Amino acid sequence: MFRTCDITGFKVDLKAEKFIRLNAVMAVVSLLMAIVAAILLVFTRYQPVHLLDAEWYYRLTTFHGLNALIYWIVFFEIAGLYFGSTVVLNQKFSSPIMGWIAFVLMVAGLVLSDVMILMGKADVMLTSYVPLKADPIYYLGIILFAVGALIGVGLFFANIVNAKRDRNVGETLPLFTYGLVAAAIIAVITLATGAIIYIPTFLWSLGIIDAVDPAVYKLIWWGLGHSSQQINVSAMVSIWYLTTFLAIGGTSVNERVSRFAFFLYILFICLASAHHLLTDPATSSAWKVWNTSYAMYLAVLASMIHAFAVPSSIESAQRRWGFNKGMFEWLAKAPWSNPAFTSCVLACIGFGFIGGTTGVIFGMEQTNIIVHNTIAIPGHFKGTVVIGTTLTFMGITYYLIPLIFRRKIVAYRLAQIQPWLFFFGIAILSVSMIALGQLGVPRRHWDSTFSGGPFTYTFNPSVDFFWTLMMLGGSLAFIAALIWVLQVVISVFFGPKVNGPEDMQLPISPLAPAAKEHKGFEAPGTLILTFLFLATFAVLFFINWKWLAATWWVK
Amino acid sequence: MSLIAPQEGWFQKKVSKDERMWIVISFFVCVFLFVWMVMWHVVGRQNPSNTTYKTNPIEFAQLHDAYVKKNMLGMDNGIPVVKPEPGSDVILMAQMWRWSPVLILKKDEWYNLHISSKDLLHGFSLQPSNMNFQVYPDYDYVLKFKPTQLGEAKILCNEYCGIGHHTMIGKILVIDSDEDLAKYGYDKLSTVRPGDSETNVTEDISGWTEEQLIKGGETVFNLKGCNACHKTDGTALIGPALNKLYGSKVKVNENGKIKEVTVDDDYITTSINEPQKQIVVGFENTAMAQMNLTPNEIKQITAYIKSLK
Amino acid sequence: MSEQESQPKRASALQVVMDDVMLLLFLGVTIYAVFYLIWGVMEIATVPNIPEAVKQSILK
Repeated sequence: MFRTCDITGFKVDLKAEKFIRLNAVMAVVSLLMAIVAAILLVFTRYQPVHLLDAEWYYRLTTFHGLNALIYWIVFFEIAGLYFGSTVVLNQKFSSPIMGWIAFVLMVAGLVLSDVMILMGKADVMLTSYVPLKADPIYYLGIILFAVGALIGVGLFFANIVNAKRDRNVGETLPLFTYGLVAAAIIAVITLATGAIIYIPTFLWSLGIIDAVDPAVYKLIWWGLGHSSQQINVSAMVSIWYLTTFLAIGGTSVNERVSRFAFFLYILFICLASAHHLLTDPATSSAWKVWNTSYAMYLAVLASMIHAFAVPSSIESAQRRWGFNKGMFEWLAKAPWSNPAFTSCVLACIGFGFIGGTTGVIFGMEQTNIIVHNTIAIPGHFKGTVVIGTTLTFMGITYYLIPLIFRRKIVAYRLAQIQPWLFFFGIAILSVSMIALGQLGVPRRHWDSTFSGGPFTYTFNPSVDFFWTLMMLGGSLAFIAALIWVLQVVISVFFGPKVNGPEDMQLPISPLAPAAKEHKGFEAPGTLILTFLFLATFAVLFFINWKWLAATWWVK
Repeated sequence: MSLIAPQEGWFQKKVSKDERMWIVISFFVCVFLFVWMVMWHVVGRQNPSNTTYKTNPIEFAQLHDAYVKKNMLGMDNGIPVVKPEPGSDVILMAQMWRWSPVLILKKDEWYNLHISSKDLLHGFSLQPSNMNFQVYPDYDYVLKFKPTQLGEAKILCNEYCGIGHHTMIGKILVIDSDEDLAKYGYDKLSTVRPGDSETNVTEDISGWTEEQLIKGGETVFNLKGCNACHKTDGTALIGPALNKLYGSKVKVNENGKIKEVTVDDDYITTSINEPQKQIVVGFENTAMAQMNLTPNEIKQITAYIKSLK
Repeated sequence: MSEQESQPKRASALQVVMDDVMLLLFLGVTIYAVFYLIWGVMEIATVPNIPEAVKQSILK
């Protein structure tokens, strides 16, 4: 059963629409659980309040990690994969029965593992490094979730194969869907790796097998843990291209380049799981250097290509719309009143300047020594997963609500400021965590005054300043995330119905006019911005190596 | 046109001048980063070690115990202190929740630290220098260190290792010469020394006096790290305090049933050998680890606990 | 394969590879499995025991 969208003209399979809705709803539920835990954790680590006791601090750290990094993101991505392989291609959902099975398994997995955590039977952190042991039902929950998600990814591939067969799409997929293909391939790698490691661990917790080697566990686990975040990167970049298209009718200046970057992601990005094993025994420097650098930084090259391609697609379209004055009129006159667009641009900035720079530097074999397991690491991935992925997903939801849920957004004015609040909240949180980590403060640590220990350690006094900053940033981000959750829930369940294009609050732009033939630079403003990025990177790079060079000698 | 298929000829379209420029620069940045990492192994002074040995918690604990007994100068807050020779192999054991032993190192000398864990994964985080390495059970990571900064350094644990994680903090003192020891109060270390091989774990100790047993027990207590969780001054930390314990009645949880037992030799032996069997009420969530003590050691520990008033 | 019916122009080999979803899946999984997983696990599996000399020097 199809309906034809009166706004976009796409043929929408109602079954597909239902699964997109269900998965999106579960994503929002997961995010809500994650942020409630997050604010409690912030006020525990902020020593003047020190809210939770040690037991609940570690319990909720586990809970927050699982719901934020896995459930929120994977549910949303499954919704995105269904959208990109059906609605965008005017394609029917290949197997509603399997869609139900996938969804039920994922929900069951979420419920089992979350309940086990809250009952105190899985205080093992998201990473659950053996021989730390959780209740078998916890591992079972994660396995069920992974199997469900894997079925969802399989449905995505089935939809695409069917769409090619039904001639709804030619050999070359639209760029958005192509990026999702990259995400889906990485998801297969991730979820298969997850099965390889969680199944023996599950059997071990049942007492069926004797032991799981801790080094092998950690190596394989990160094949899941890190690669799962690369799904986000691909999905997020795809959505950036999508948002540019929806908001101003822009497109990648050169599709071959953008697609080639996704191609590099598919080939090399999962090698970077080695980021987590750089200061570990057992593996050699050859293995570490090769893998941590994604085979000579080819996946970083891909990200840098996108770092030019995404803003240049905005600049190029804006110039064709006539905002052609000077270097930056295109940016000043961009549709900042469109919350999806704002989210996309802010996510791009935060991801690049905070997450990307620190990611590359912290992921180098030697500089990792000065940050491994410090709070700078979660600081780094607040810059990638939270400002990058989460803000992007929040932004595109402002389009999903009218187009897929067919509801108007309640209190639209609030939506226009929400991305800014969230961006600044997380940026402050993230930067202060990175600063704390570089001063040596450990992550996942209940009491950095070491009460009850045989000795004590006093950090550089400037940590007090950064703790306060972290608490303020965290609170701001929590408020912004809460606004988003409430707004989405109220809009989806109680918002006025969308009856046609006149009810669209966010504009959908027609294609930008074709370019006049011109030689020279396509996007000079973007080039300046990317050079600014490179300069920031260079400064941070040399500061970190300088710090490293000041430590004890080790070999 | 991210939602629709690209225009005909998209694959042949020329890359614009600025984008090409950016891609070329990016590519050289990538090559530079890779070469830099490799070159740092040649010219840099900080590189993660490539030496790892396979071990197991029992073997490594044996090495630790033997190493500490042989080289111990005294105790600092219940943790043995050793002053290794420059260039020697040094054993540093991580366990829930302490680093043992405390090390006194000379500045600008090399030491081979063998680091491994007795139980879970731990994180070796040396402050204020800020160097961080991962510590595993079953693997002995050999890091060759040369301290370049004088003074007290602390080893934090930065890998979650259970409820007492935040109490896990060790110490490395870096000195120029032995005269510096006085500055740090290490010239007169508390002298609870292992009674010169008296604590042998297997030899016949039936002829020992009560005093010898108590002294041996105190050594075992410190060596095995019991003091990481059990205090002897009445404060309940992660486990119950051990003073005024012998002969008293405690409430324990056995398979969910609460009952009252008297602390005697049998109870102590069971508690050490099967820590999960009877758990003192109130401490259900901080389960004790399997310590693998010999009957001799348990006998000495029992005598020591009995002596704690 | 690269010859298209109504069009005289050839799709380049790279374009064919990049458009083939299943081939991409295969390449992605293989590169990761070989370099990261297999190489890594092999290195962990071949870690030697503590040399007897080191052990004896401490135990004695």
